[in-house]
Amino acid sequence: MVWSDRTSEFGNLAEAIRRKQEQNGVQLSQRKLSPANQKSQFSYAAAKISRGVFETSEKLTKLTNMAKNTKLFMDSSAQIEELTFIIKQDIQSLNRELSALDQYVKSSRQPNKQTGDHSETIVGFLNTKLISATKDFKDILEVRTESLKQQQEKKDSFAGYSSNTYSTTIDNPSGTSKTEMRHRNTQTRDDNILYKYDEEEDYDSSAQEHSILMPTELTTTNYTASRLRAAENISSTIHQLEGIFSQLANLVSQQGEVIERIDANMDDTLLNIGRGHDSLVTTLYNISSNRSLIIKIFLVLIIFSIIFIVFFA
Amino acid sequence: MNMNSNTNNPNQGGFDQFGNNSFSIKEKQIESINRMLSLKASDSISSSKPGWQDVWKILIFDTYCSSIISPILTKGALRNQGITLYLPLHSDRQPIQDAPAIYFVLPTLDNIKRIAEDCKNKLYDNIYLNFASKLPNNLMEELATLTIQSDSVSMISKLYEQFLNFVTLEKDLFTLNFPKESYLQFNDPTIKDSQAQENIDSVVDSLFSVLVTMSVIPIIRCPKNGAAEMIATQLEKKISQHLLQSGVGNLFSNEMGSQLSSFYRPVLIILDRNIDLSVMLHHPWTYQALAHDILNMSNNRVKVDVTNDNVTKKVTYDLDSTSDYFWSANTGAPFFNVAGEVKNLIKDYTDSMEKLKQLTDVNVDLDSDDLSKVNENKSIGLGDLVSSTKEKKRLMDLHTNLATDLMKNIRDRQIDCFFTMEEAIITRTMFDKKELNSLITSPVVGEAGGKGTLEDKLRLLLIYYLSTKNIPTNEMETYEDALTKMGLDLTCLQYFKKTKAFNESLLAIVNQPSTSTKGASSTTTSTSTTASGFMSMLTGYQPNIETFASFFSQGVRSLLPKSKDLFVTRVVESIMDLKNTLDADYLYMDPKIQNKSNVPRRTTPFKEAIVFTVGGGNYVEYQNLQDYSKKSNKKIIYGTTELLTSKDFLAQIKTLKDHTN
Repeated sequence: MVWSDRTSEFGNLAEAIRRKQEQNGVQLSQRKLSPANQKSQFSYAAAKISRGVFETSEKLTKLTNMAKNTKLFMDSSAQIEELTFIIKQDIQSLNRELSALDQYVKSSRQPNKQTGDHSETIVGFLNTKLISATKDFKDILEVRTESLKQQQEKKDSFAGYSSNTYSTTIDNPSGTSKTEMRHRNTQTRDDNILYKYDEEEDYDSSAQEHSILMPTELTTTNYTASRLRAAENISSTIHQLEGIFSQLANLVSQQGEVIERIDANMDDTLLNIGRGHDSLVTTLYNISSNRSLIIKIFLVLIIFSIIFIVFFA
Repeated sequence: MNMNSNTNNPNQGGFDQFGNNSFSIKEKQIESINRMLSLKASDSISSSKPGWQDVWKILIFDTYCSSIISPILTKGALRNQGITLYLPLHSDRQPIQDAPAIYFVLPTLDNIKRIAEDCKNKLYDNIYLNFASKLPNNLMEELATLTIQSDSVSMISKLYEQFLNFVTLEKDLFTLNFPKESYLQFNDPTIKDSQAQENIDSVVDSLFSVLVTMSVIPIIRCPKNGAAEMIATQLEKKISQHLLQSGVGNLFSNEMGSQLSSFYRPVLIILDRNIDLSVMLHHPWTYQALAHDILNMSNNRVKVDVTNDNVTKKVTYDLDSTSDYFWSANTGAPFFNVAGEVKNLIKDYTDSMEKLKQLTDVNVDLDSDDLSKVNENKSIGLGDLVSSTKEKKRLMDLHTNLATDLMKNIRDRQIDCFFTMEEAIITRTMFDKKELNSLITSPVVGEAGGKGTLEDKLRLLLIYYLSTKNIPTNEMETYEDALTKMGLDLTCLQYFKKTKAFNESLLAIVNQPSTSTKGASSTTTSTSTTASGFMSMLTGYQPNIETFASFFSQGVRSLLPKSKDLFVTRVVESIMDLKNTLDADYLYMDPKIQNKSNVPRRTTPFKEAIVFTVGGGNYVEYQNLQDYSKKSNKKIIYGTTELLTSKDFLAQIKTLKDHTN
């Protein structure tokens, strides 16, 4: 606690002084300042965009976590795609709103220069934030593309052995049944028969395996197609983002004062004050010389008119 | 070579694990200001990541508060806090709709009146008042009366006292910038009592704010008699009164348990400038100190002469140790090392330029397929590279220009000669009387064989006079005659002659320099000015490694300051390590103990200290303390009423002498 709040103390003090003055008969207008006067359309819109960008960046973090997940069998591409789509929509609509706001600021007459500066800074600030969010988005998409690529490569390398993989997995249950059979038949059948049986069993299982493999292949193709779609989607999104980027880039260039200090203009100000003072002095000099001239003229006029009235009227 | 502390400070983590207890005044002040700007009265703001802005605020400050904010927060940092406009209080301001205004001002009558006027004119939606120090009750009454008259009390939403009335320049350096001409103010016998009291009050007030911002209650040590003692006693009284009145919820309490903070209590050492005056006259040899002494750096801002195509103009640079890694690494480095480092900086820049060129260089011979592929790979990270190269360019320009300008001055005035001579005198090593003689009596810069300006000569003579016990009268007279002939005003010397007896008694306290210094190891290479190389450097403003390298290798001595502790540093060392040598002369105060007759002494050495000099300080002293703190693995914050260059200091002495006559 390194500060002290004296608001209430001040309020009490003000109330006390007010009462004292009222007792002394001083009438004070009891007009209450309307608190929370209506926020202007502009600041409402700015706050809305600000919140929008904030929410978008939160969604971005979510997306980042998902996109970084490169495990082969824990794919959440549907969710990722959905989220990407939402964020894209968000950024586009935010960008639209922001340019509308920018237009509004530029077109509407500001009551004074400082208010204008104020609004322009807000727009500029929102722009920078939106740009950084867009950049994050682009980075994430790039990461995603990369991970999709990697997954595809992995899959390709697996594809060569895929039937083997499936057969081993499917062999296992039949393997257990085989041993059971063996137990049952050890004493009655010789090794050859057993071998034959095994072959039969194998044939059976491979047929089984084939029937199972069919749908898997089908899903894999589906899967690859969906991946292709995702990749295409992403590249088109990146493309659209580039458009937004170039739009925003020129606005950001105006915001290059990040490392400036608040007293940066102090010296200029001092210089200007000095100049202002000088010109004031000159003006004063001019005015005073004018003044004496006017006085002289009027004096001449008055004397002349007096003479005229006295002697000629 | 690299003076960066972090690497050679193995136990640093020991402090940092207590997060909040980091002993950095800059961090704490930024924290406080950010909290003020966020309009939220909670401590959690620093820990949570910056939330989203939907309130846009206007910051209004007076001159002093602008000097508080400007060295530590840039416009960009302020904007991230939702500040859109930054306006001086006493300027023409126009009404702005639906935006709250944050006022950050000193509590003065002028400011109060202006604030009341703003309320009356309803310039802003509502107003958050933040006073940099305690708002006196009469001023609060004034504000209340004025706002009631215009029926605008409800404009003021909040009123805070922030305890921030000190200027932080580095993480361990602060200055009050007040009172102006502080050495004069604290040593002038003709000063009015009321003025003197006011000065002391304001210093006590600022020190109180420093301690509140740091959330520490230190043990206070100060020499007996003089302004330092008065400040120390009043500060102690103020703290213990505050503790007594507010109990547990006082300004010093923080989230951490009180046991921990009492375990880590630092010592506040308040010193009088008069205990060591020679350091104020000493020619510096480290980067930051040179920038301050030669180029008059103030509030981390320096004006540099930049010669480009034979046109010289002043360029203003901000030196911010948080964003400028080169500056933060080299502030305390001897100038010769800095020159080498600048070379590396240039090389670094050319390397990344080369990289950039390679990336952007498109080879048309490639097939179109290959081309797109290559471009795709290249474009990733290109933007980052461009911006980092841009930043490197900025730093390189800054430091090349700064170093060049310093170099020019050093060469013109032969500051290296003065520095070695003075250092030998101060550390009491053997030196060549003939060289001293030639330095003092030779003509000034601009004439044939000229060495140094009159001021340089005076500084050398004064240091010689102050640090040497018995100087033969005829020797002194020779020097004085020579200098008077050159048209030098010797008022300052007369002042020192008067006070020497006093100084000597103080010097006697000091143990002799503990570190044995080696003889001047620096070999003087030819100092004859190589005009051609120099001129080529000036004209070839665009970084040209070859010229820069040759420029620095020629004619400059590879001087390294010898490891020696200044007087102030020796005092600090002996207090922190609880050596008994100074006990008789230094008071011991503990604001936590209410029973003043029996104050228990601390028995373990201090790990942290705040050193404050009353009546001005400089970067040489600051640097010396930092070197010591790194060596001994302690943490020291240096503060002073005013950072003075030797020139300012001599001017004050001169006025002082005029007053006493």
